[in-house]
Amino acid sequence: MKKRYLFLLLVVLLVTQPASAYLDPGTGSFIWQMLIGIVLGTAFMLKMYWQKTKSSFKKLIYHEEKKH
Amino acid sequence: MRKKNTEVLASSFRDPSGFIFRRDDVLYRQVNCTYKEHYDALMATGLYEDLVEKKMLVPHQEVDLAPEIPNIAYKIIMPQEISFISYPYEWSFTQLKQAALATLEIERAALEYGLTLKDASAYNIQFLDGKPLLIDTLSFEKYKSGDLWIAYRQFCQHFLAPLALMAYCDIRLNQLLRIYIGGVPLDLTSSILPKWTWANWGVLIHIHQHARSQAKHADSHLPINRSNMGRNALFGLIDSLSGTVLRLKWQPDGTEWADYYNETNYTQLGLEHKKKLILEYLELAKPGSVWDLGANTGLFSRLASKHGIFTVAFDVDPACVERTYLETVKHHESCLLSLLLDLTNPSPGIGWENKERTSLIDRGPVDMVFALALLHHLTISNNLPFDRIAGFLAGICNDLIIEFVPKEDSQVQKLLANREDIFDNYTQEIFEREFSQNFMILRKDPIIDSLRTLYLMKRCDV
Repeated sequence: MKKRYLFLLLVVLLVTQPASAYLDPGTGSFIWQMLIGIVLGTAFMLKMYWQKTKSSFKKLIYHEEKKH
Repeated sequence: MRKKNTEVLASSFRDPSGFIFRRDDVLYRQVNCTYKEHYDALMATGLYEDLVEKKMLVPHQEVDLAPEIPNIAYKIIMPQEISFISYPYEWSFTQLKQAALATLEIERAALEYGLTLKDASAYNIQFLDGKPLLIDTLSFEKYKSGDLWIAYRQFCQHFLAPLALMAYCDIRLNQLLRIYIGGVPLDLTSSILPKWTWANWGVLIHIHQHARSQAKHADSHLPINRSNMGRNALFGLIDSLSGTVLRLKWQPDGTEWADYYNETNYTQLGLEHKKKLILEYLELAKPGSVWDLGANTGLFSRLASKHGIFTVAFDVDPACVERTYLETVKHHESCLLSLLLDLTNPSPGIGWENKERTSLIDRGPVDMVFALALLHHLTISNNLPFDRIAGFLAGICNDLIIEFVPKEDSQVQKLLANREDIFDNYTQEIFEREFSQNFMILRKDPIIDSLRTLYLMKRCDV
């Protein structure tokens, strides 16, 4: 009988979830934002460079066409 | 000493930076000393002027008024008042989408001026002249180099999650916002969204993986160094969120808007007569504001709004609300606001003490209500007796334009097709008798080419 109670206690201790009132979804959000920030920041920089290059190229073509 | 006729709004308690109060029927905001540095930065950097000029931030005036709580007060400001406060669970898909994009645009502009949004609550956005407007002047704070966007999670829960659910699952899921005042939880959103959305880059990172990260670290309680985010990373985050929101689209069942709603049995002559009568009634009652209950796509609402009367067009059909909103934007209709409302279960008071977001009734009364082709839906589809409808309407308006549709009308016959006719009291005589308990009948006109009658009524005690 004692063994049975001990087993039950062990199950309860192992299975019990943390009290939801103390769970904070904000921590995971901050960590996630910092992680994706690296990828999104790099992608944003590349996008900006690409747009600048594209607009310079367009300007160049426009000037060349004007010359002719 | 507390002033008379003054009241701090029940919704204004979360932010220590200040609060909203109403005194002698004028709305003010107290800016607290703790917010001084940020308020001064907003006003001095040019961000305020820029956003007000773009009609993205509510304009305000600094006023010389005795503060509500003097010992913590820095300034009192008087913001421009919004005619009708609406909530995200009352918005159509595009309204919520526009509100989301406006929030991101404001954050982008704020970063350019060295500030950032500390809140991205959908409740901070209201619609003025059809455009989303930030109404919380105290949402900004000075940006410190390396700061991450503190409102990222709130943005995802208030905007991205409901929009994704509306676009990819069911338009009605925006009603989850009515249950979750803090926005739709991301783990719930992730579990409802179809599996294929894991292949959508924006939804994957901002909802699915974001939710997983929340679950993984929910119990860690570790202090985090929040100063590790580069400025480019912030712009990248805003850019990615904007792209994800922009790609979300909704159109009801692939139908074409033009023919979406054409369910009336009016002849052209009857319809024109009804419009003429409504215009006559408006001229008689001269209301300052109108609520059109069951507005459909706003055909009759526009009779009022085009005469400069601020009108809210409510309908239970998300497609009607969406179409009305798109048209108001297209035609720059400044006096018309379209909102989603199930009149048989109108928006309740929610949040702390049921007072943070007020019920529909508490946002009244309005000068005039239109109840056009509505009565038979309430009585026959919802078993509501006339006296309960009259009592409700008398509680929200002074003047009423109401249409009586008799049982013989083909639209009523449709409702009765598969119902036992237990509506012996549904007669014009009983309708008039019951409504006369609360209203005086000022005009009664049969609509030509139809079996229907239009009434102009005035509340007895006005």
